[in-house]
Amino acid sequence: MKIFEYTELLKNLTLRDLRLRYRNTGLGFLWSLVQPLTMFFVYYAVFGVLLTDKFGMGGTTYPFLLIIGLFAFNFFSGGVTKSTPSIVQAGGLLKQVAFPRIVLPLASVLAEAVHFLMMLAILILACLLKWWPDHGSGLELLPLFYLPVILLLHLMITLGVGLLLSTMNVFYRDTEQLANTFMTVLFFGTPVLYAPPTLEKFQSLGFLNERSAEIIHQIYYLNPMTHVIKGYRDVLLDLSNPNPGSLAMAFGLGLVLLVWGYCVFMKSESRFAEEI
Amino acid sequence: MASVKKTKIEQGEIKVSNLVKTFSQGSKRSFRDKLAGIKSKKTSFKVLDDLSLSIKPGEIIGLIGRNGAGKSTLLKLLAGIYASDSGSIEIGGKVASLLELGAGFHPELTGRENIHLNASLLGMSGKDIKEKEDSIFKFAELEKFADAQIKTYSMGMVLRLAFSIAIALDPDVFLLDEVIGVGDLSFQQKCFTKLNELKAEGKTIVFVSHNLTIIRYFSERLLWLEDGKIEGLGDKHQILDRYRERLAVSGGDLTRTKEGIQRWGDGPIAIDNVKFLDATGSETHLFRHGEPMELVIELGSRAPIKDSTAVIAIQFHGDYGQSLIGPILHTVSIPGDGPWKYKYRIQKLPFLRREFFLSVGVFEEGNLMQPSDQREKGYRFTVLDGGERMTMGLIDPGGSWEGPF
Repeated sequence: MKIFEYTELLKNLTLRDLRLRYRNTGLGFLWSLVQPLTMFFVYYAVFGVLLTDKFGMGGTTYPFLLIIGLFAFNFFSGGVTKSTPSIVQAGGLLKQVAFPRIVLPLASVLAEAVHFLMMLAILILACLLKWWPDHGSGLELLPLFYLPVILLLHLMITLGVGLLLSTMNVFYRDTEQLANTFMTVLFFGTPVLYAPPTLEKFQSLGFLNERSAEIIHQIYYLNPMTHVIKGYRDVLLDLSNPNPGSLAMAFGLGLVLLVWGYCVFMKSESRFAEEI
Repeated sequence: MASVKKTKIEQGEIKVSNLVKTFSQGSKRSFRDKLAGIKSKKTSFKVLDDLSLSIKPGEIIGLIGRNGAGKSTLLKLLAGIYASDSGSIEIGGKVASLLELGAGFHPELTGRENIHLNASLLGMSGKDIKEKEDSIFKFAELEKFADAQIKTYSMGMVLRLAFSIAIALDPDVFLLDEVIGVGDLSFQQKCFTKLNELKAEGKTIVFVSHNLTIIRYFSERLLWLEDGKIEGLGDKHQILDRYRERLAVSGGDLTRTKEGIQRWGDGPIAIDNVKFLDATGSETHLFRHGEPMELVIELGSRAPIKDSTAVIAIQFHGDYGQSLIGPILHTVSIPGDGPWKYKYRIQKLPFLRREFFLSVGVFEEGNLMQPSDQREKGYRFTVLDGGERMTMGLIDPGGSWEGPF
């Protein structure tokens, strides 16, 4: 595959993304921490402190649950919204130089992945601090080795959606706006601020009959990010092995998205230069 | 990419057969149109129509044709940027294209960072880039500015850097679109020397230029495209003569220049008309080297003129507008309001195959500072032949050699 001849380009594009984002700023790379942490404190203040009575989302584990959800979702939404316009934004370049176009969305996702790795390091550190006071033999930490697996699934999903939307955006410029809007909906439709609800929870809402509660419950769990976030929480919050069913769902959905996205992208790639 | 097949043909060889490329024109589709079932009105037209040609390794091919003839599209197909509708392209070895200088440069990144990004964009490996980094800066004469952001570079510096990166690629086939002849004169000379070196190494170069001087100096064979078809492919002199003739025929009133014409002066004497006559006395703009040319200058009056004298000045310019001969001053008498005709006759035209411009001015006697009427490079003519042994010259002084003694 030609893409392997272009690993250098992929590296340089990713570096360009990272370098340019914080160049000429006072805090520099620290900004990548400031924003998600601020988000975390705001959401924690609202849902973990102010509205605990209403939502019942307080408790000592809530900050953990929240920060894991936030960071993981940020990587997904950042990767998707940055890669969606990546082809169109490189328009002039596409018309002048022949190179595998796939490096553009790939680099956008990778730049986000670099940020997420830093977040993940913070999460792991927090997990270790929480474990230390009454630690056992250390074998309890074994589930942490599942993290690379979950990260891979996370990457598959993000890249798959990114490839699909970046292709669509070349032909329909509405895609970018649509993606940004949809991301807000998905933020609340994914267990980011809360723990994934059970079927009983949907049923107890009152305004759904049994059948529709079941359908909504099923749709809710068709969101691969639900399973990825659940995976991270199983490992980092509970130090338990991730639910195999969840991993399987994330893998299945991730594979479908990635293969679908890749095929659509490669099929249209040769037309990008003239469509832009 | 799909249309570029890499086969085991000779390194540097290009084979194109029955290449067709159509573009569709039309507004961008949107979701709304799609949802409303509106099919966007699209008209398609053939940019390249059944093109076949073969280029041997080590050839330097100049690509000429009017705007919209398909030159850039052909280059983009060869470079693998566009996919063809049908037909095939086979290219032996590594292809590098330099279609726009500085494509992919980012102003916020430093020269060094841009080299890495740009060279990897062109397909260079990380190891190669590191090795060649210094020589790229050296060729571009930008060693001192390696770690300055590109936005602090001048345009000339950016162009030099871009060209140096492309040169460092060491391709078998080099595609260039209007990028030869950038920078100052000494850098241009350096580029030509480098391109000649590549040629000597058997690299194939295909380039587009609107500068016929560069085309003539640098290429060997010419490919002339007209409406997506090959109008001519062969010896540069033959093709260029035909191309010039065609440009001249289709260009309307060719002895007048439209752009860049500068007219000033509002004195009583005006230039009414300037004509070029050939040996038979008929008006033309096409001449052959060594043949006679007659310039007829018609002067009229803007205000009543009594019997007086004036000075006519003529000056010949080359295709860059550079002054070649003149101003040639001549005092004439103006017996009254006119119009009056004056002739300047050249027995043997010293100019060589190129386009030339003529400036004509007229002055009241004793006032050579303020023209009464001046047409700066207002007229042009084309010389179709001559200079077979002089590639860059514009004028044959008509001397002869003797010796050895």
